[in-house]
Amino acid sequence: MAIIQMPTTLACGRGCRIEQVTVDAVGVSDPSGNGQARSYGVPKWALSLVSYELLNDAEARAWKVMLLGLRGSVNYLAAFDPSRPYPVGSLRGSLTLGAGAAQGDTSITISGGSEQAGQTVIVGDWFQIGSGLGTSQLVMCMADYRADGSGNLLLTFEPPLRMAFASGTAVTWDHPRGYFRKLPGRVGWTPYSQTFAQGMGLDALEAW
Amino acid sequence: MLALDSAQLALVASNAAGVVYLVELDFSAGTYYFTSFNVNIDYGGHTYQATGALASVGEIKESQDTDAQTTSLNLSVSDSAVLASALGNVEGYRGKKARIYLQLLDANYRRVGMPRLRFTGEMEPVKIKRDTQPDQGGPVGGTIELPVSRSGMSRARNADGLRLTDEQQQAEYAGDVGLQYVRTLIEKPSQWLSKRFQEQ
Repeated sequence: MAIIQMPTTLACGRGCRIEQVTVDAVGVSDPSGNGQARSYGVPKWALSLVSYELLNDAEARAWKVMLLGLRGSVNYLAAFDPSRPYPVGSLRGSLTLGAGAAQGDTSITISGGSEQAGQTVIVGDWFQIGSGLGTSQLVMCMADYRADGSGNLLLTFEPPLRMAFASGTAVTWDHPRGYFRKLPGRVGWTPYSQTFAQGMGLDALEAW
Repeated sequence: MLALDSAQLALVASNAAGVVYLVELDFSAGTYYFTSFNVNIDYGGHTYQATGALASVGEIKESQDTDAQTTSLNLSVSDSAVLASALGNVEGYRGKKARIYLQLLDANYRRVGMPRLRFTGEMEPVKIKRDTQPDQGGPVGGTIELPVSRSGMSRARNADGLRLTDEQQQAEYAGDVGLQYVRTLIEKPSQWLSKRFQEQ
């Protein structure tokens, strides 16, 4: 089992898609209409990557290395949202957890140091808490917030934490990655000419 | 009977609740701990594995009679440790204990209260099924179906048949021919005519 890194320059076009896959069901009473949601698992991110309409040879090679390196569903893909590799908010720098976080938490305190004072996070920004397969989590910011004068900032996010994280754990804002496994099916492309190709794509589901 | 504490009762009465199973299987190679949740659960000094090993838990029934109630656990063949044990000597697990607990989770997927024991049974020989390879390729899954019978009930049901055959009666009471024709009567039932009818 190997971890394949999604290239930061991967040529992704329109049609890429991020989804949240939930594992739940709803029971509804016929007479009253009241219902109860029952969840059976933590939500997972699903990722669909689609290439440009026409890829030059270098772009196609990057896709081929990634697709074939996955060996079907054998290996993991460390991937990010190609449409939002950096926060829209202004928070940057070296970020860590300002306090420990427990499993199930949906907010954490991020500490960026005084140079991050007044910087912001915006709804939809991605962050990776921790690092590595099974020991990190990709979350999406759910509320705008501005860091205080010490560079501390409250980040509320979804989905809830799957595991606890210790104070001081690294928080990544630059190409924050989740770990994915390709869904069953073939991978391929259409040669357009000797130097161009078309039709690269990948569907993957978060795994840990 | 399922007894829940006040926090669990409040959760069950709310509009969202998480329901997962914790399963303990006493294989002779060791006890396996699995959960139907998709994240490992640490409880009681054990880690209940969520690596896709436990695919599903069958329906659990409750009744007051002594029927041999059974349920089944579907284990994923993708867990090589489980597969090896299930494919190994059947004596490694047949008749050994399996325990199924219900664990409630809140809306943030945190455990609420203690796991509640829902079923205790004994494992029976497994059935292993592999899925068909899809035409377009890709990974192939499969399941190990592990039947679990309510403790003692399966054996009690078998006991009903004791001393109902001539061979068993001979083993217990040599020379007693009282059950000599039982099998013949079962296989070929015949009408017994009353003495009065025969005297007519």
